[in-house]
Amino acid sequence: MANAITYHGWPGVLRDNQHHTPWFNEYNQRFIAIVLLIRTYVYAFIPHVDFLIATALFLFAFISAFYLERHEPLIISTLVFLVTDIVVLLAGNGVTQNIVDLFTTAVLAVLIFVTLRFCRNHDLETRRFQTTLLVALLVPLLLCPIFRFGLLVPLPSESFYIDAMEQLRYLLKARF
Amino acid sequence: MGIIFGALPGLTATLGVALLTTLTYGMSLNTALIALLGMYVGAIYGGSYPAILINIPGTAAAAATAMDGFLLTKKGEGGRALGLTTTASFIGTTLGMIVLVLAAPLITEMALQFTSYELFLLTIFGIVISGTLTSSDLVYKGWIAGPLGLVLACIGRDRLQFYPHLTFDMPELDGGIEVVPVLIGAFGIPQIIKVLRNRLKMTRPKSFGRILPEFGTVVRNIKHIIRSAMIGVGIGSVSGVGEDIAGWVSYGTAKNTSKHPERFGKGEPAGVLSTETANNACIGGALIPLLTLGIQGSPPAAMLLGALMLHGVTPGPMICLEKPTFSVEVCAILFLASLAMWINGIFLARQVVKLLLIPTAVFLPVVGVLCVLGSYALGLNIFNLYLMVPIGIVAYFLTEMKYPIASLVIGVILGPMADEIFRG
Repeated sequence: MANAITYHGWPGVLRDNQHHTPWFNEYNQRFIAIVLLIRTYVYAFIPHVDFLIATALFLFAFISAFYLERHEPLIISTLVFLVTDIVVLLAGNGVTQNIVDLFTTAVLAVLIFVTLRFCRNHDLETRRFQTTLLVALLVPLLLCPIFRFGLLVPLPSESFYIDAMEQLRYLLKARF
Repeated sequence: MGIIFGALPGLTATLGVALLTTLTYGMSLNTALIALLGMYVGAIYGGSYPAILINIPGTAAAAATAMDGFLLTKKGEGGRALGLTTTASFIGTTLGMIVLVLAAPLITEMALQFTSYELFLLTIFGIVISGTLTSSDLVYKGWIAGPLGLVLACIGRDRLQFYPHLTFDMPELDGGIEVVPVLIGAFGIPQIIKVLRNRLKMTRPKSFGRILPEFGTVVRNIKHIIRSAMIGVGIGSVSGVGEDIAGWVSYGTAKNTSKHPERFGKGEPAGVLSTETANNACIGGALIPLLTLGIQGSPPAAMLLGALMLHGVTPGPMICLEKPTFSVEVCAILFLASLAMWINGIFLARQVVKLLLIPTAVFLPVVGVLCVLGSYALGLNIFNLYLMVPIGIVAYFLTEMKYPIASLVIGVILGPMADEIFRG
């Protein structure tokens, strides 16, 4: 723009702007989505939501936004994260953590349902959706016990699901 | 694990060492060193897999390997190329280790003459030279990034007078900024943003035959191997210059000194051997200034410096007095790591290559979760995560503007030491 002003004046600036791709293009949308997903995960979910369900939601939203060929999951995941971020931050300190966990679980269920609707008529997208779901659920189910019970690292936020996992561990220990 | 990290494009040796640092915190020093050096050696070698099979270097160090390696695969000699890189990497690491054993005592003896003036200048030299040499664009960008790291290192209560520096009345910042969230944020988050924003896709790896050690070809090219190892060690020992430069310099030298330079770039085994020997020999070279002077030789070595400090070991001239056997232990671990790499490379390469089928959009979010856990696990402090994200985003913009992130991290690591030496 500085060059346009120097060499071509305001008509040059206006002409230059016409040739530019819009700022809110797909490339920048992806950047905003990545930053928003990471920001919400770290600042809203980790301190307020059970780590297992927070990670599952983060992974599902993140992978579906970038792994699926269609553009809609990216927009939907970003918007869902934005709304959930606001709700969790507003309600996080006011209500019991179990309610926040259940709300996050409901958001995950809705996101899975909506994403499935976009994929169901397309074989490749359906396969990718299945992979996304598998990774999003399996990774936290593996990572949480490894860190919590294997490496003895307390997770950032432990409530509904991690407590249930702990109960299950004691139950299994008592049985075997 | 190192081979897997190196083989997956988007993950680097530096990030691997940084992530592993947090998991080694509860281990003894020797166990942690085995894990970290194994990761370092394996990741530098692992970068050659995608370079050879899909023409995308897994790490920058393997960029030159793709020149001839991928063409060998196209000719149906992918297994041979992998065998050559495995053996060359083993020889390179071993030769680098031998030079480390021989050179370390001599340099340490000289470094023991240093007083606080020289030590301060040495830390500043480490920051400035890494900025100069790692800057891919204008040199002054490196000089800006290094002091920016020094500014970050100044955050927290003053160690001598307990006066708050840049804490903005936040009690969490009183203790200063921890190195690990900076390491993970500065290397992990920009990588995730860059790869996913650009939607970098991978092609399916081409099929390859049996992987054999290829000793015959190695013996025929022994001149290239020894020369490349010396280039690798030399470049590695220069502070801030990494394995990628060693690979390219060695490739260029091998081409210029070859009787058949026209064969290079068309699937010449000597090209693969020279680059892989050099980038792995660079590891031993990078450890020379790290162990003797306390300054890093390459970006992964900088992470190693941070990891050693977390384990209560301060590399530098005094280490031979505080821990006389430390250098020898490091050399022994380095040799074992390279041997393990060779065995894994020959017998397990076929399984590791299957990982290249995992799409980047699937594994990078998982890496994001690991970054979060890695930053948190060290001090069990959520504030580390709050720091990691903005540092990562700023690092991404700096990377886009071609500011070298490695020198920023070096500034954060060496900053407190420089401050103490300067005023102490």
